[in-house]
Amino acid sequence: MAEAARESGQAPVITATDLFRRFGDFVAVDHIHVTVAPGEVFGLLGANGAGKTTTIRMLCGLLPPSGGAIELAGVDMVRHPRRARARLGYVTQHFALYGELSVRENLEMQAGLYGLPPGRARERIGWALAHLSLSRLAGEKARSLPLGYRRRLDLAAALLHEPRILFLDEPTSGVDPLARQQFWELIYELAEAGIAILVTTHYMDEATYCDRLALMHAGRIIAEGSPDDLLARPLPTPLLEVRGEGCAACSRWLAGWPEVLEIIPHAGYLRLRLQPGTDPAALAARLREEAVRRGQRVDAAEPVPPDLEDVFVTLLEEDSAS
Amino acid sequence: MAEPIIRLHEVSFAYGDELVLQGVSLAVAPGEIYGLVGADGAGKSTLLRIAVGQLRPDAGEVTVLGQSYADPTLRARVAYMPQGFGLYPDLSVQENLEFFADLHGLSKSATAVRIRDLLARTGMQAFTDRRAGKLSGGMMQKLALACALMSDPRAMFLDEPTTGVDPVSRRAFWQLLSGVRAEGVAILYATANLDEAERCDRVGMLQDGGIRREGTPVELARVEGRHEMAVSGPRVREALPALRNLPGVELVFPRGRTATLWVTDDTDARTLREALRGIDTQLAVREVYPNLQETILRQLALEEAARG
Repeated sequence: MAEAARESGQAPVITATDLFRRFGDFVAVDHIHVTVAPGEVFGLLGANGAGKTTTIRMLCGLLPPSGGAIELAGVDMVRHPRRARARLGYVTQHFALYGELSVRENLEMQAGLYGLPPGRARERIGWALAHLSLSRLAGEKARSLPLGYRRRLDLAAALLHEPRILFLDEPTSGVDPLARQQFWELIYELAEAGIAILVTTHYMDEATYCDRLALMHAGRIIAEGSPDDLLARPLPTPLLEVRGEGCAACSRWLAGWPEVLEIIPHAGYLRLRLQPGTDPAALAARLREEAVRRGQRVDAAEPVPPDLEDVFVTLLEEDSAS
Repeated sequence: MAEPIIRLHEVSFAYGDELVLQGVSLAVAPGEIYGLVGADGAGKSTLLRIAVGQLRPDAGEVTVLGQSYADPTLRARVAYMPQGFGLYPDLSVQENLEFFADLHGLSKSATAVRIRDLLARTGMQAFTDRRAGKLSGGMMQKLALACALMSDPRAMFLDEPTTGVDPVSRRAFWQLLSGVRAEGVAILYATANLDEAERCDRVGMLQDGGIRREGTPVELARVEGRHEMAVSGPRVREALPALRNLPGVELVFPRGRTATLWVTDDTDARTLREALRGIDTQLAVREVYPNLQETILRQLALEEAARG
């Protein structure tokens, strides 16, 4: 059970057991287990085609599983899909609303689809407009909104019926940093209100914002835990960070060193991923010598712990190799 | 510095009444990746379409290798990877490559050699018969790059090639791109991902119709008189109002169990630790290296606050 659930003593509101889905001969989701507690932000990660969207579509009742069980807030999704769906909100990867309708009209239409009585619909639309900072834009056509606001409108629509569970499939893809930051602040507010949130993302900084993560590959969950748990895993490929003005120049000759698997440039420093078995300290010493010889300034070259992207890339490579 | 390959001079463009670009100038040297960053709708794609000769600017000039698009042969010599890749989903990998070879007028024998080379470089030899529409996002991206490289270009224009692409494929793509850069190609790379912009040699920020700031990632990531600290702890969210009120704190961004704080340069880790002791003893403090994402986030947040 999730840490958050243990802490609060609450049972999970999303429980998928032995979930399985095939398309012809292709197994898209291969017997996975997922639980998410109320108030928990659960991140589902993985390469394109790993099975994340198929998983979400099954959890939302849009795609029947080939096997396994799904329970949402105590309701069996397979037996009572309508009742289960009433408890969830879903924001898809692609803008799902009507571009020609205004923000308010879209929400009214959505409230109608959820079957909210008129008074309740008015109240919820008012809440959503105010809470997601859309009031000012209520009369604008959805199509004319900047992407970040279209994503907010999607979220507003998914929240009208007060779901206890929210599924977000790459909600911030292509959105600017401020809109992403604001979207995540909303996610936290919703989690604090007790909503269970399952989110997929390709942004590794966003992955670190989740309470718990599962990494999918080829339909299976190959690693699971809090961001800290996953970062604590020892990696076979040591990492070296190189700082200083001469970094960019260094990367040109470092690319030829057989111990250097990959060079990842950042503003003012490089991260080097090294071949397994390489002694990072010895390599750092050699690197500093070579930089001095070439007259390029390197302030520091030292072994560093992995970040989440390093961990995921390594886990996926290992799983592909096995 | 070597003579630039790509040059835009005072380029302006409007869609009807809407002014999208206003006197944009930039230059990209051989072996340089120039990152064009900006919010959705800032005009990155429009600028790229002008730079490849698909759109004619209302004013200003575009030259590549010293030639303008008035020379009809130029278009064939630049490589363009549009958003969504511009591949033919019903054609196989091999057929897509052949189509682009044909477009560039490569002979049959030259086509065979070039395709073999590009397949090897992108690691796609095993997928030649697969239909492009059936490829994974990462593979599609590699195929699009291979198609773009068909003409052996000296200038490349890439429009958000990694949006929605996973980290593994992104890393592989950048390895390929670094190889292309090492051959001396000038690359103009539009992206909304700021960690990718840090991989570029120079970055220009497109905003309100113009390049608002331009420089190396290091130059752009630095903020005069400010730096960033991260504060983390199990109850950091409860401490947010108090953090926002600390002296020397300019902005606070909550992220899970961490909050990042923009602080004045006289607020060092020790000062902050002492100030935090009165709020929550479990809060830990660490320095954050300057990075583009955080710097641009700060700028956008300050601008939004100024607008009210």
